[in-house]
Amino acid sequence: MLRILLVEDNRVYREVFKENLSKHFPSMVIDEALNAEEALQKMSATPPHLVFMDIRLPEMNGLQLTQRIKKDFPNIRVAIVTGYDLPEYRQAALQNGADRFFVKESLKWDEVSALIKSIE
Amino acid sequence: MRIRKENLIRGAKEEIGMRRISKRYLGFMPVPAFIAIIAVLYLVVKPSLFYEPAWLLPITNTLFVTVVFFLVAYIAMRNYKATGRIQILLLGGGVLAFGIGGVVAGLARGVPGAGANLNVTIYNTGALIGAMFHFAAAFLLLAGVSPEVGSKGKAFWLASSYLGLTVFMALFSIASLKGFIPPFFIQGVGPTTLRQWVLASADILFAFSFFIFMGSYLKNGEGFLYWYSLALALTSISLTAFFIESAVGSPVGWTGRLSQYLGGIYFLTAIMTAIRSAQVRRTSFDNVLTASLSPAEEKFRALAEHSPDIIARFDGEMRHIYVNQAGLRLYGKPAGSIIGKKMEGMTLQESFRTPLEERIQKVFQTGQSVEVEHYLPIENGTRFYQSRCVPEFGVDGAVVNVLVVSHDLTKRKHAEEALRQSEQRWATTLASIGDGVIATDVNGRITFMNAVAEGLTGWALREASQKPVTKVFNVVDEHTRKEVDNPVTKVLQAGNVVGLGNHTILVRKDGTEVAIDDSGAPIKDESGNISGVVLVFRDITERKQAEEALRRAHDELEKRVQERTSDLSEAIERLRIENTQRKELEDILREKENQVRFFASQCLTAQEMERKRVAGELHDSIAAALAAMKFRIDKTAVEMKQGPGGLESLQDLGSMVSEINNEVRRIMADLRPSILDDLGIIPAVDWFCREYQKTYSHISVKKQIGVSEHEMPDSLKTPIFRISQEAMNNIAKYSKAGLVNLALRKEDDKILLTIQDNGQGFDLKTTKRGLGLSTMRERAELSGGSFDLESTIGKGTLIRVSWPV
Repeated sequence: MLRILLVEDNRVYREVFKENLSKHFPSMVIDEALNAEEALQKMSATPPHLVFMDIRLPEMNGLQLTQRIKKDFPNIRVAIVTGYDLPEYRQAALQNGADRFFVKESLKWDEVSALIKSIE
Repeated sequence: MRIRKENLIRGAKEEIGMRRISKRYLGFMPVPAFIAIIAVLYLVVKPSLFYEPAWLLPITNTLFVTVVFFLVAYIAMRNYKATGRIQILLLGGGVLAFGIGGVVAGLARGVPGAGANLNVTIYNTGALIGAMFHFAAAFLLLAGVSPEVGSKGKAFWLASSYLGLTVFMALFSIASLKGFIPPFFIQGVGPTTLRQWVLASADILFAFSFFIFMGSYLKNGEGFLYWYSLALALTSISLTAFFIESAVGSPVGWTGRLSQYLGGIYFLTAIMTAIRSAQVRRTSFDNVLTASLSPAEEKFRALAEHSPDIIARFDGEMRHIYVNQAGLRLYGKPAGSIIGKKMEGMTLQESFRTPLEERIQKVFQTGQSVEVEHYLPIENGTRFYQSRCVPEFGVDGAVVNVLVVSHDLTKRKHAEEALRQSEQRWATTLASIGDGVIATDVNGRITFMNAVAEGLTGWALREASQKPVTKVFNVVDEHTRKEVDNPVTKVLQAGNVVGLGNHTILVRKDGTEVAIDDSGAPIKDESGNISGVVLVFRDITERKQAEEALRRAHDELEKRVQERTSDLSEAIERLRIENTQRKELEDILREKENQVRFFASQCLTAQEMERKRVAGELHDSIAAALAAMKFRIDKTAVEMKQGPGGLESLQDLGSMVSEINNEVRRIMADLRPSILDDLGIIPAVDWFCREYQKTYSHISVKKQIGVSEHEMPDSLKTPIFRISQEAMNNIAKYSKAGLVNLALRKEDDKILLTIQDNGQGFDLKTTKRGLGLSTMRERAELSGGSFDLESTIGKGTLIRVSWPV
């Protein structure tokens, strides 16, 4: 069974995203974290298969968290989901070890599904 | 009150004196009276008148001449026996001869064949002898001598004079009776020339004697002399009357007799006066008589009588001849019961009497003066006497009398004892005093040292005594080591107390040294003459040490105070400098504060401007777009109620949201590009340049990045981004440039940002504020960098900012 961790401090976006995922993958276990610290705790307890995370997070940002995850949990896939559709962001995400880069506004669920399916 | 009393007493005395003098003048009256009466009778009364009963003359002559003269002769004899005075003997012999003459003359009247001649012869002869004796006595008085006869010759001379006279008179009477003597009186003819010569001689001698005695009286005022001289005068007058009388029994003759009788009474009066004087003076009759007759005696008497010493004269038989007042007081008896008596049997203690008697005896034997100290126990104590026994030599060179002068030593003895005790006390005091004491005589020779002085000098008094003080008290100056002035000499010169200078060292006998403090004072006797010097000194070694310690402590303290003072001065100087610096800093700070305040206000203004701008943008773009979106949603909702469709409207709505979203992001990026925070300065610069290029397509941007993100300090990211943003916006707004070069690189230890354009440039002097230049400079400096701007008109502007890393 696929475990997903959603790291997002914005409640509305987090619920919308979770709702969409549940609709597409009903059997998927979806956990949530509001910041990097909580995320790391949950990952240590039960490592997910895939993490969706925003770049803008309180304290440690998504890029730094990505680096950390890739270092401590190399098997966990990381997908950055950010509001900034800028090449610098994309480049920075990939440079920091993110597996995928999504822009919130133009998020294509097909690509998300493909990613999940590739993991399954 | 007292003065009045004294005046009264004086008055009374004067009154008594007046009375005595007037009485004496009264006594003188008969002399001129008899002269006058005789003169009158001789000239006036007929010489034939006379009265001469046979019974009358013997009675009157016996009463007034014989008895009186014998009495006086007896008294004179007694006095002579006591004193051995020739004068008294002469007076006695004189009156005796006169008296005998009177007696024989009286008796001769009854002798048959003798008759008037014997009467006249013997009477006149007695008178002449008497006159001669008196004149001799008067002559001695005049000569001022009073010869004395020693005890051995006394009886001989007495016998020679008294007995000799008596025998002479007797023989003379017989001779006259037998006719061996030329007649003095011839019956029927009258007195012979011989008789007249004799009588005249006697008369003149008596008269001379009167003058001498009276003269002596006038000198010494002795009453005895007065009355005696008047008696002589009256005798002389009577003889004158006898000389001129025409016949025995005539008025002139009787007047002469009366004068003679009164003279007899005056002789007695003289004796009585002497006795009275003796009583008044509390001395002996003999003393008075002696004093009266001898001017020398008179002086002696005045001295002797008032002398506090006992003065007595003893004859060879150890009998008192004279005792003065002090002596009478000692005996406690009147002179009458002492004169002529020996000491033996008197109420005198053996201790007083015996040594004196022995010495008097010795003086009689040796003729040498001796002294003896003896004492007399009295009721409450003892009286001490020092008696000097002096020989008095007679005419023959033998010791006639011994004069004893006894001086009362009691007070002196007591004084000596008191002095001795006092000296003992002082000696004890000096011996037990804590200071060294040395006394010297005027020659500086040591007479006394106390034990402390002995200890300090190292000399014992016994060996130091009579040595020069400089030898024993050898003092030198502590510093110069030179001998200090001899303190004794200093005191003797100054005549007062001399404190000897400080820093004096006493060199002891064994050569060791003692620090001393000393002073010298003169020793003065009662009359203020310096009789010696006393030195007082003490060992001040301990005090010196204490003083030295004190001085050292003081110096140390002084040094510390000075050090502390210099420290303080330095501190004060430092503080002063710091203060100055602080003031300067404060000034700078104040300036900075003003700048900060200025910038703060600038900031606030900028913030308000920014808010206004953001609010305006939100209002113009976001709010308007949202309002439009609301309108479209309501419209779409109506369309969807009415039937299927509305999909297009929803799609429109989606694109509207996207626009709003873009707009919000643009505003956000204007406010603060999140890329700077999320990705760092280099992506932010990349982004900004791309956006800038997009906005100002006529400006070509060349970007050079020569530093990696991790080399950039976080603190510089915002200033670099903002300065770049400001500079490039200025270029776009004002420079009309076609090319901008932006370079960010690291050089050595510096981060260097340069932004250069090829625009028109501007004049730095005329363009002061504005253009955000000050903001850029401020950002650069606040972040620790330095801002540099070069602008050349027509060639462009170069901004160079560098930060040390």
